[in-house]
Amino acid sequence: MKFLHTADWQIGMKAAHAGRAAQRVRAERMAAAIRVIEIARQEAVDFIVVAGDTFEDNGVERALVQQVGDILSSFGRPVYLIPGNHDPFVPGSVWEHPVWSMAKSVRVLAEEEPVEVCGGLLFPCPILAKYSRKDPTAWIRAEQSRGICLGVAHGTVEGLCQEEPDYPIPLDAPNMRSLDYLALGHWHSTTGYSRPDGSVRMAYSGTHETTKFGERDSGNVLIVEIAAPGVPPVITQARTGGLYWTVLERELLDDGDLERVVDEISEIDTAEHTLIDVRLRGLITPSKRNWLDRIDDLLQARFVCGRLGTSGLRITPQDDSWLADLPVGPVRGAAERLRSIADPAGGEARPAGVTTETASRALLELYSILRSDR
Amino acid sequence: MIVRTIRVEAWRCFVEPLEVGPFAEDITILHAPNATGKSTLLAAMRHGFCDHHRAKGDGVEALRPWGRSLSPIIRVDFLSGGIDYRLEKRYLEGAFSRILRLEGGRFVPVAEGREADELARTFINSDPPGKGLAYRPENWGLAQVLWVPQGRLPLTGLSGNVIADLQRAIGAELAGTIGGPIEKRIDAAYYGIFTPGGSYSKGCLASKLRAELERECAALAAATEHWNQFQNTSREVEDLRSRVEGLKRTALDLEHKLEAERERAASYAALITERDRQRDAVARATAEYGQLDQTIRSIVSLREERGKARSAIALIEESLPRLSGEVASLAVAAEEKQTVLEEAKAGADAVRAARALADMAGRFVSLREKVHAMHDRLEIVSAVRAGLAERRRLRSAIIAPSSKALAEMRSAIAARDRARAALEAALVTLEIVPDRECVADVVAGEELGLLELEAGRPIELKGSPAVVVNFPGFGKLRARGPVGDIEGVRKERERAAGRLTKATEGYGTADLDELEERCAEAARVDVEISNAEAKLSGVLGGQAEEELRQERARATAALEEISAGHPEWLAEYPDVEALRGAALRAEEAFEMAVVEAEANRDAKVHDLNGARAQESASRRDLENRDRQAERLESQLRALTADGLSDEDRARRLAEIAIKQHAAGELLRKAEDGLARFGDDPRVTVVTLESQLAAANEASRKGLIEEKLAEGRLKEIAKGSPYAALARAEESVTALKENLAREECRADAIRLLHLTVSACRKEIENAVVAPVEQIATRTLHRIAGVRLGSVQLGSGFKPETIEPGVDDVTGQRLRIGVDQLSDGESEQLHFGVRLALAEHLAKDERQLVVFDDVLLATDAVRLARMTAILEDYAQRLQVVILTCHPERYGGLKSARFIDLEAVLRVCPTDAQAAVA
Repeated sequence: MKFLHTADWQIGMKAAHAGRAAQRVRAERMAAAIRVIEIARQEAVDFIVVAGDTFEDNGVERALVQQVGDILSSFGRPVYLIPGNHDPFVPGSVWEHPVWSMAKSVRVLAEEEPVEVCGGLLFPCPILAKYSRKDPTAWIRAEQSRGICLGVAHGTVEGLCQEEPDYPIPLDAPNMRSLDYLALGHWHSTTGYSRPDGSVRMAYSGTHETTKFGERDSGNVLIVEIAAPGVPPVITQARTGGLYWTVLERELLDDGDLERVVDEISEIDTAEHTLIDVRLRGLITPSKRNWLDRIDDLLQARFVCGRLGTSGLRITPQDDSWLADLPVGPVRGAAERLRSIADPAGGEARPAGVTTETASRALLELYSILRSDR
Repeated sequence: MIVRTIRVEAWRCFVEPLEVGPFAEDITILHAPNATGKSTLLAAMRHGFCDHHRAKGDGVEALRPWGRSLSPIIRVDFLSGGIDYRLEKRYLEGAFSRILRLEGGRFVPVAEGREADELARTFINSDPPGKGLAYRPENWGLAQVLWVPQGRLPLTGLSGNVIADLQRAIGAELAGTIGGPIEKRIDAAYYGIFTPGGSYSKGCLASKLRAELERECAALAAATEHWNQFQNTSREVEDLRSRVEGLKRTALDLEHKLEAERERAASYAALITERDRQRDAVARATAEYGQLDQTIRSIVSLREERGKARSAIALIEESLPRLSGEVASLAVAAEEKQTVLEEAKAGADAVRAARALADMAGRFVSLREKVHAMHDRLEIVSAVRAGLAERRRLRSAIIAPSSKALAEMRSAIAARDRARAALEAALVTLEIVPDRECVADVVAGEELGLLELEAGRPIELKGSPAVVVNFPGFGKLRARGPVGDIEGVRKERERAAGRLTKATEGYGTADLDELEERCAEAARVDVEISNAEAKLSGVLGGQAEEELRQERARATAALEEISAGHPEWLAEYPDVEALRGAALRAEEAFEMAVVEAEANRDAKVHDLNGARAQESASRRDLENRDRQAERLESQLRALTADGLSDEDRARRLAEIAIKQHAAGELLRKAEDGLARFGDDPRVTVVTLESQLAAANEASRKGLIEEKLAEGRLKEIAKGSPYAALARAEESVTALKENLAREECRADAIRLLHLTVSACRKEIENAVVAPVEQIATRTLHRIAGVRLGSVQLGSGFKPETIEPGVDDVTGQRLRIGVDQLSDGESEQLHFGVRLALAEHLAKDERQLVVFDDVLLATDAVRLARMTAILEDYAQRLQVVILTCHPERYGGLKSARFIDLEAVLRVCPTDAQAAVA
């Protein structure tokens, strides 16, 4: 038995964190779904199991449901889906769309009944409500079953950090339920649960396309091969994600650091597939302010989405070369006062509500005004 | 800079060329009455130094003389930096601008056109707008301080350049040469975002983002609401499905229960039938038993009664002969008592005769009195009637007018008198009193002809319109008078006389007094007649006299009839009371005798009747007993008509009792069976059927609701509620990020602006102090120390004075300059202006102009102010424009220029007008 395990496609997902690239992020998830089918074909798997959250919500556009149905049907071999907590099997859900009844090879498993699959039995654990504290695998009785027994469920494996674990799944669920493999969905990072003997009989395939910055090891599917009942599965991870979510955190210690950050960003050759979050902290001289603009220009021009965080930057307190050029009078007096406020160690009393960051920005604005004057 | 001369041409009120000057280097008083053009000269100079020569618009057009299309020209000769310059400008058609410099005794061009405009401004450091005229004081440069137009003595705050100049002049040197432009750009950056009040301006990016964010938040709220609606509807469908399932299960349970209950109801119904059947059987047996038992009892009873009836008949038949004897003897005794009674009643006639005699005597007496009374009344009636006839005769003899006729007469007399008076008034009257006898011939007048006149006897002649008299041998005398309608008046008099004649005819006289007397006499007689008629009516009492006489006749006849029977009563009146007493006593004796006889007779009759009743009762009792005995016999025959013996009947009764008991047993069994059911299962069946119908109906309705909700859900799902929510949330997040970034930038610019402003304020404060000191000193010279020190605010604007006393809280008291009197306010601003001018003139003498501004100051303080002006004139060129030159008479060194005189003389020979 060989099958592809995937989950958490989250089609129609909102991507406010991606800014202007939100639509691109959504489109990439659909493109990644096509890549899943391509890999399934390449690997010649017997069937595909989608372990929940195929859609972000039951209220997504019906056209997307049709598209997903069409993509899954295009595989030509059986595809088994269970509703997840994002798209539970409730009235008005995406599962009422006619595409599921028309697609012969695609089955939405909405009842807790074992289904015969190629070479064994599949025990589906459909989700019928958004939240529950119930173990979705509790109903499975596979002890007496012959052949390879698979489970497909959507929930949180015990031990994962969550305040109120919804749909909890025991850590030794495969053993408890007499399953050869339990395909899981819900968590987006690819994770396998090894037994003491080193075998893995329960795994999260992770989402097929990364959803946000900082999401570890996502954008994959799992190819699972089980030779016979009781034989440990052979699991292979395959990359399906099309986008890279990169976080670049750098501390500026001297004048050259900013140029080096620019070089580093410039050297990213997958920029057209990358969403990048650059977070800078440390010290900056006003004369280097144009380098920040340069970075911002690069991010906006080359990357799918670029963010530049400068809230951690402070004006170098020792830099008073440009202040000497200011005319004697209120402007120079103000600049000196702002520099003192911007310095966390400065002796100047900060007015109420004014932060060192605001003072730094005010100095940078003054510098911009002076520069524009010239 | 000081000014030498000003020359204008075609400039508002100055059509012809006018040159004023030269101005003294210290003080010049330019005076003229109102509307001569003093202020126009000051304004022209300001235009010349501030405005572009190519300025256009209504403001420039207004510089032309009224109703002319001339191009205004200004020329100012002035000294600056020790060099004599000439500024020449022409506006509108043929516009030009030129600056010339005096070199070798003649003016040589230095700059022309735009360069000349720019150079001119440097002399007063002005900062005009890009287009149009520099109307606003903040564009006037130093002139803001130095050139004071009419009514604008108070300083309203100075522009940045002047402040910088003042700072430089004061020597603070705190603001560098490029500080101003940078501050301006900082201000521009700040006011590009914020309003002067510190809030975001409407047009700034942050405000736009906020507005857009508000809209997007509203869209997000709507999308969230739509999405929630989707979720809620989904739950609603789920709930409805669950409810319908529950109802279906309930209906199924009810169907099962109904089936079982229907079987029980059938058994129950069979038992009911059996119970009813046995109940009927018991009832029938009971009835039959009761009937037979009653028959047996009745037979026994009838037989007993029949025996008793026969015994009673025998007793009655035995007592009847004795009762008949008693009746016969009592009848004889009653007959005797009846005879006694009739004898007593025979005395009734005597009683009636005595009562009739007494009544007749009473009537006799009454009639006699009545006849007498009626006779007296008829006598009075006759007398009154005679008097009345006499008065009526008298009244008919008086011929008097009625009061209405009298009023008509009075009206006619008044009309006649008025006409007569009018006639008298219309006639000319000529009175002649002859001294001797003579003859006069009246040829015109009322009466014509010759008149003989006697000596000393006056005579009046009347006529209209004139009276003409010829006196033979003497002449003609003509008297004329008023001309009126004499004939009309005469006709009026005739009409009035006719009315009077008509009104008085028939009375034999037209004398109104006599007629009025007659009228009074007639009224008096009418009153007497009325009184007599009232008396007659009172005596008759509503009766006719004839009725009274007839009544008297009837009474007299009745009296005669009675006296015919009792002639003795004519001689002597009968004693009515005695007669009535005798009749009463006879009646009482009669009644007692009758009552006693009746009582005796009634007692006997009562006894007789009792005996008869007893006899009759015995006979009726006998008859009744006979009939009873016969009836009992008949009943016995009917009861025993079944042909059975008493023993047969007893046996039959026992059989019926056994049958009744058997039916009772069956009935009890049926009732026990029913009792075991408890409630009637047929009722339960009806209830269950009703519940089942209700459950089916609820299920049907639930199904409809479910389908409707599903329809709604599909409709909502079609709208992709989550997709809309996602888009709205993304938009809101992006806007929030942009807004946060923009607000961060705005905060930085605000901080920069505030910090620069704070620093500027500190510097200004440092610069302001010397000006405050000089202004305070000047104010003290004018008004004394009472007002204390002067405090200036932003832009050197005077704000408060500090009199040097504490307020109630112990703080130094400060008073706003707006609380000063008009005079002191004027003096304070005068002092501040001069203080600022002194600083501005530190490097070079400067022109100071006051255009009729010291109007509220009294003469004493004005004298002090002129002395101060003389002091300042050592460092400033002071020009005072006024229509009261006498107020500045104390300025001995001042040059007085009479503008009106300048206008009268050759315009270019203005010096002739200098006093």
